[in-house]
Formats: sequence, C-alpha cells, structure tokens
Amino acid sequence: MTRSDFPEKWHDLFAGYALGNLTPAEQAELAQLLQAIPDLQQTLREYEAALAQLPQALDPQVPGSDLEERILQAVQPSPASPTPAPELAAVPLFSRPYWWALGGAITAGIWLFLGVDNLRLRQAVTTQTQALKSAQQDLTLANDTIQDLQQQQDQAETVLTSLRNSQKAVYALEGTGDLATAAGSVVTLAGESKAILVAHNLPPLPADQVYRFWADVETAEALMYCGEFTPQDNEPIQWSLPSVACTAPAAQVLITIDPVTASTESGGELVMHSLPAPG
Amino acid sequence: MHSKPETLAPDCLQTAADRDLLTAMQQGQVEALREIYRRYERLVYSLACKVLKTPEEAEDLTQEIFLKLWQRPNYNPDRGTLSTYLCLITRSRAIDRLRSQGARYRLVQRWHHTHPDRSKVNPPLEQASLGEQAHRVRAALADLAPAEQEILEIAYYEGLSQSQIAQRLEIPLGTVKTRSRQALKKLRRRLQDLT
Repeated sequence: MTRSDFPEKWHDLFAGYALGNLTPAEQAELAQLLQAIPDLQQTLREYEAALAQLPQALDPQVPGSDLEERILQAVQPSPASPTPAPELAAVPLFSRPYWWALGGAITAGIWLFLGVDNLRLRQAVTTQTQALKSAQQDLTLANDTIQDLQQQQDQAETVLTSLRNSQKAVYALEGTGDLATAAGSVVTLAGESKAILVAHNLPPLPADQVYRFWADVETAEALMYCGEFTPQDNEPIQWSLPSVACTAPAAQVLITIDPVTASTESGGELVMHSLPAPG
Repeated sequence: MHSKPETLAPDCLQTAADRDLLTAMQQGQVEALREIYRRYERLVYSLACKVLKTPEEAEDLTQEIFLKLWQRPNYNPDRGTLSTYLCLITRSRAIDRLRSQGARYRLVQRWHHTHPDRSKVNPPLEQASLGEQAHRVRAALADLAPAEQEILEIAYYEGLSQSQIAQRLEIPLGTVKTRSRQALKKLRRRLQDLT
C-alpha cells in the first residue's frame, strides 16, 4: 500500500496525534495501527515535522550579538592546569659584584611575586566566573520550579478556600469498566452549590460526549442528575450543582459518560462510583 | 574499539553537514557548536520570541536550547532534520515556560513587548537557504483557508487546549479538531519533501 492509498481516517489519526487532540479511543486505534504496520511511524513523523515547519515562516528575529559568546563560554572546558613555572636558574651571586647580585635577586623576586600573584588572580577570576555562570543556570531552573509550584499553590488555595467556607460532603471515587485505572475524590459544597473533583486517569472525551455526575439521595426515588463536566489537564474540575438536593449527603455518587444531547433522566455508561465511607 | 575523534578543520565547518557538525560537537569541538548556533539561532530565537513575547526570555530560552544540545544531544538524525528537532524542543520548552508563568505577569509582559524590535538581516548565504524554506512554508500556509491558518497557529504557538481554542474562537470543540486536522493534512501534503 502506498502512502496516497492510506485511508483518510488514518491521516486524521496522524494529524490528531501531531496536534495532540486524539480522543482515548483514537489513541487506542492509532496504537493498534502502528503495531500492525510499524512503517506508518514514518508518516506519523512527517506530520510532526510538517507542524514543526511553522516557525520557518516567522519573520526572522536575531538575538543579542553577545549571546553566541555567552553560550560558547558556558561550554568551554575548564582551563588546563597552568604550566608549572620554570625553575629559576641559580643566580651566581658570588660570581658578580654583591650589589648587582642583590639587585638582580630583588628584581627576580618582584617579578616572581607579580607573576604568581597575577596567575592566582586570573585563576580566581576564571573560577568565580564559572561558578557564577553555573549559579545563574541553577537560579533559572529554580525560578522555573518556583513558578510551577506557585501556580499549583494558587489552584490549591482556591479549592481550599471553597472547602473551608462551605458545608461539604466528600466521596472517594474509583474507576470501573474501561476506566478501571481512574481514581479520585469529589466534594459537594452546600454553601456554593458546586462540586469539585480531583481525578487521575480520567481522559478527555470526544466533543459530543460529557461526564455526568449523579447522586443517590434520600429525597429522590431515582438517581439525581447533579451536573456535568469535562476534565482539563489534571486540574481540579469544578461545576455547578443543578439542585440543592445534590449537596445533601448521598448514599452513593456515580459518574457516567453520556452523549451531550442525551436526556438527564438517566445516565449512560458508568465509569466511576463512590466507595463506602470508612468505618 | 573507540572510533577516532572526528574533528572538523576550521575551514570545513561552514560547509559541513549538520550530522557531521553534531558528531564533532559530541567530540567536544566547541567551534562545531558555534557553527550550529549560527545556522539556527534565528529559527530558535524567532520561535522563542513568538511564544514567549519578550526578547529577554527568548534569549534565555535560546541559550538553554543550545546548551542542552551540547550537554545532552538527544537528536537522532534518522528521525528528521536538525531544524525540525530544534523547533520541537524550543516550542515544547517555551510552552512549558508560558504555562508556568503567572497570568498577571504574562499579560504585563505581553502588553509591553508586543513587537520586539530585534530583527537584523541574515548573512546572504544562510538567508538564501532559509529564505527558500521560509518561502515554501509561507506559501503553504497561504494556501490554507484563513480560519485553518488561524487555528493551526493558535494550537502551535499558544499551547492552548482544544477546549480553550474552542472558547477563544467561539466554535464547537468538534470543529476545532476537524479544522486543525484538516489544516495540518494540507500543510503536510505541501511540505512533504521538506520534512
């Protein structure tokens, strides 16, 4: 089969992979396809490479002229050990007039002192410069890490503020069926009529599907529809609860996958359910 | 048995293939890194500027990319060209940085640095080679519908999720996927020989 013969669906999968927008089902389909026909890796790389060509069309910008030297200085090997100073020839003090020998010795001493001192200073400067560069690189990395942590802290504080200020019910969740590896916790907040879910391994869904949250509460005969959500990049997910009854402690809560257009009278495929409260 | 270190003569550097420069660089030849830098500084820096918006951050990232290339070259020539590899890691790292910045800081920086004015003229030879490639990519992009071009550039340079793109463009999520994939398929057909 030649490349032009590939089904359009395959090209869709390759493009979706390069763009990072494959659904879990498509990811599985692509994985199977690549396992069956390893040569398709080449076509997949062509899609990635085509996307990576975009910057070629940018108006060229040039960094500061000193950047090249900064980079090259950073990779320069440490200067070799200084060449040992040649041993001084014995000064024939007693073969010359005394004053001449004394003057020569003082001069040689001064030159020796200046030479050694100069060498020591240069070594110290080189060592300090390298240490400074190394420290600057470490500082950049540390700043990146701090910014990441601050962002995570901001998100956590938003959630914690909500948790502190509301009456709440907390449920531990485990995955089932195709999402057996999913796990998480959900909190319903009475004061704010909203729920917060922290979940792991809960994949994004196709555009025409959505996760729905259901609660088994005493006041309702059937499972009560308590809102819907779409996960985003492992961040805590919040959504509004459509009914005050959803904030009451429930015997069990469930999460299903449903078509966006489906009625909320009943749920679709069950993917997560709450665990019995300990004790 | 160890192979003989492949050091390139200084007068060969400018005409050496990327693959040979990388081999020489891995043998510790600093001048090989200098030549690689001169070939790709504009590409890496322009991409960093486009994503990060500030010349200072773009320079910092450019330095990081070339230092990483020197310290831990993970580039495999069998998987694509060096320029493609550099674009992949630069974009990835730039978007990581973008996401790790605070929203307020990012907005302020972008407000003050919408158009970094650091462009200069490329050396003639390199300009001719890169210019041809740039021309091809611009032509391929121009062949896309404006909406396709827009969605591809947002997805590539801004690192937004599909739902964020849908929100920004006020279109359904399904349309984001269909349109961006369609655009990339067209682009790949037009640029197949460059990849």
